[in-house]
Amino acid sequence: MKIRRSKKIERLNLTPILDAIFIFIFFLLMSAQFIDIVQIGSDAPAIATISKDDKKDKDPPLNLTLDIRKDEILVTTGLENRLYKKIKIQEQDGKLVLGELVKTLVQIKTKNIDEKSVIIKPNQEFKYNKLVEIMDAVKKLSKEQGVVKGKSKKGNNVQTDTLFDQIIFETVI
Amino acid sequence: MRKQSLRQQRRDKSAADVDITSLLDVLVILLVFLLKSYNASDLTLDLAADLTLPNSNTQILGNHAVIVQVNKDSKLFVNNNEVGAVIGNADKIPDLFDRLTKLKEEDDLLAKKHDMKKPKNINLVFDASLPYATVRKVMHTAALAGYPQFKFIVQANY
Repeated sequence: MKIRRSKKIERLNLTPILDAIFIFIFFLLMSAQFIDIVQIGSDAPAIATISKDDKKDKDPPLNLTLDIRKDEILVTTGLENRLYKKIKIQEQDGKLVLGELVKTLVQIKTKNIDEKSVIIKPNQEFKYNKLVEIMDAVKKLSKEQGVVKGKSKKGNNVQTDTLFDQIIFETVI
Repeated sequence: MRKQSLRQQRRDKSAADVDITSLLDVLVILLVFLLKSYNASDLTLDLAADLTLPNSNTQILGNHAVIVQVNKDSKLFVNNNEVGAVIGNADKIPDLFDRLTKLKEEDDLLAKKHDMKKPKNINLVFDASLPYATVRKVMHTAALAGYPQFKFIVQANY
């Protein structure tokens, strides 16, 4: 007569693999980049020789320039750098208050919707983090700030949230 | 008697299944973590010591290019190798210029070999507290070495 013995069912021991995965998580946490890295593009001023035969634009260039001084930003336009507006630099909670600058740039953009370039001329002592704040403000409007509407040179109605996204540093070369 | 033994067998079979609930828990956490930290950028950056990135609202991801870093003590690093410091009043930084010129030659050769455009981009990583004078000197030197398209690497605000 056969005697049936109840077999003891062995469970797979997952403890070592879980330990390994736990260490793996720690390793990933240590090696991961927690900061999101992004970029702001800018070009050195391009120099070109214009011959007499080259066709000239009917309209004079906007030549929008931000002369960033210690306490103020001078917004100038045109080849002879006509002063458009003088904006006092103010800070709040360690950040620049740039509402006035954005408002001015929106006014200029509305009249020159096709224009994309801005020349920045900062003071030598001006801090880099403040410069980044200005570059941010100059490039694009935030969602709260809305959009700019204007008429292009071709006569089309244009609506955009981009202000002047081609930043050129005047003093580089 | 026979019926009972079948039931017993069935019970035994179900008990033999491996309980992977805890393993799945861990894997889900891992997946969430990996998804969160994923981005499509091919730029990998090992920040130099004593360097704090400024914050920015921009959302444009960085691309692979030569990386120049300047920390708060004005020490210069090109692709994580120290090459001196930004000292003096001269616009051109000789050590940086030599290193970048060498890299540019190598990059151009590589581009020619693979029938690609010559690279002009350079990733610039500056400490937030540096004055514009330092930034300008580095940009000037980079432009002279053949890298006139600057990409300022900053930390996203979002």
